[in-house]
Amino acid sequence: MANSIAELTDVGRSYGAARVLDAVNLTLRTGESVAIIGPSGSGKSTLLSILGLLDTPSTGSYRLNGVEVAGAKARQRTQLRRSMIGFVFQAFHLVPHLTVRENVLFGMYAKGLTAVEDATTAEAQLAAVGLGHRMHALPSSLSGGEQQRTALARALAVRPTLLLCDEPTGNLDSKNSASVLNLLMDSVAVDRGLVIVTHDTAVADRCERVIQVADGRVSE
Amino acid sequence: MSASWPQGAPRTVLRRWKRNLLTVVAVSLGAGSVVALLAITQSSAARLVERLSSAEGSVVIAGLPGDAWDVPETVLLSNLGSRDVQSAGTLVLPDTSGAGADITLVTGGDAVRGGLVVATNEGLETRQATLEAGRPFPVVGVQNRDARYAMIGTRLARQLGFTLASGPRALMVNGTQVTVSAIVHDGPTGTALSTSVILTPAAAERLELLPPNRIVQVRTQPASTADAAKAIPRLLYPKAPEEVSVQFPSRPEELRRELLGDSNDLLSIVASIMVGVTAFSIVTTMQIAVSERRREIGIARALGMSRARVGSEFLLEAAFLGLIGSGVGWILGVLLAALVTRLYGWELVVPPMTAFVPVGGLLVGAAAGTWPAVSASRLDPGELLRS
Repeated sequence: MANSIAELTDVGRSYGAARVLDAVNLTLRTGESVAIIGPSGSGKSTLLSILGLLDTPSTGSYRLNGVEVAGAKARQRTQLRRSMIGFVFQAFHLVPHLTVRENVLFGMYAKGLTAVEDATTAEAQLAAVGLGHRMHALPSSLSGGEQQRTALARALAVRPTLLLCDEPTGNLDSKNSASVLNLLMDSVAVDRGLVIVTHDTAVADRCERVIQVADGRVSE
Repeated sequence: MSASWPQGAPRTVLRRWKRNLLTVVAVSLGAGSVVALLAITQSSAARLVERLSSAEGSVVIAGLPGDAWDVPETVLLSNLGSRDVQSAGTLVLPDTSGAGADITLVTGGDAVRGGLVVATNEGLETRQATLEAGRPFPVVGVQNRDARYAMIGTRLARQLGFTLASGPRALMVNGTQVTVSAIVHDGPTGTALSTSVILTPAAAERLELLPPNRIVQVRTQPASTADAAKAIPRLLYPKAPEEVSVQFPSRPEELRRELLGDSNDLLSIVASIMVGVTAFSIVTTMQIAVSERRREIGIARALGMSRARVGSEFLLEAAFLGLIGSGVGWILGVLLAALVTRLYGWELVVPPMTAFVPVGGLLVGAAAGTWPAVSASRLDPGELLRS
């Protein structure tokens, strides 16, 4: 049975006088994939930042794995992010002077995982995304698809409960988009939820739920 | 933050070697300068002490009142005969008399301003002056008040074009003719005689150039200088010993301590400046690193790396930069000191405390890295990723 991972209740977010999110109610569960779509400036990325504990709601409640985090301090949010959340960004955000393998290890190091077997885990994850042969390459020598698969391996290597993706196929051609999307869908598991912010309806069609954001409000 | 976050600060620093090279060079120069200065100072001080220790004696300078000019040299020095006194004699240098004189050849020509020294043969011997040509003052020159005998320093003689080989053996001093008995080369401790005309006390009196005080220089055994100095007023001028002033040099060990103390004060100031420059260099480099790696920091923070861990990475990198720079600097400093001491023929002395320079560099690096580390740890990951 699917468990609730994240539960937003009447969440609002303002920057000065600008109201970016307004009375958002949303529940995310394990084992499901959710697409968040909407026009530019509608509040999608802000919603993702709040879900990923990179931002805090101005109003409302956010319960992550049953714990209220809306008013959590930076230290607690960092700890929760470390233990539960993985990110995949549109711009990949790989560390340019680290090899593919080191980038994955970097993610594990950030999580506090530094055991010797982590290297094996990292290599296995890279093999799973089809980059076993490029482990010692630098990001600059990779194609966009390979870079995004590296970012995905980095996110998955730490086994996050909630995987948040911001336009993961936004910089990729159709072939690489399909490849990355397949990997994302494969990553959904009984103990993990997937959220993808996208403009691409083809991506949204692959997800079990589609949430639309418009003018700071969400609807399914 | 690099690669290396998993592997450690040294690898991060090495991976970004182009950025860090100038900082390492700056730190090396700072640390190297301090090490070289310390080693060269110690080496030269060791050499100085060696020279002082090997000197045949130490000179005590006794200042007698003007009445003492009436006492013949032999009488004045008669009580000084002891094994502690090697030699003694009257010698008043320009720096104590403040006197000078216009010197010309008897054949005419432009006058040259020279220093005025009043001395006896014994005084010149005590100074270890040597005669380049000619003879010492004749006894009559000292005793006969009508005699006007002089010597001339080597440099002044060259300036005037005066020789004893040809022409008259005489010069004009302030318009009065004096007989020149010798050309004098100054002793190992000075050059004042070389640029002066040296008159006997009788000649100086005749020319009305007698200094107000009579200075007697007494060369003693180094070990007994202090004891001899105490006894000299009574021995030289028993009539009024309290009117005799005495100056004598420190013992070599004391002198060494004083010299090293002075140079160490100077070195402390120089070292403080070097440390400041080094720290500033590291702060600048690390602050640039923080700026350049903002996105990297943002990724790390987004992935859950704690502020403390982000900060500690930059702190370790700064400390490593300090360690590498000061380590290289230590080697360069010792090599430079070895080169200088070899050129001057001194024995190389590397103070043991310089072994702590790399440790100091590490600490300075860590201290300098604190501010950049704190600023790195305070960056907001959400903002960084959005930008």
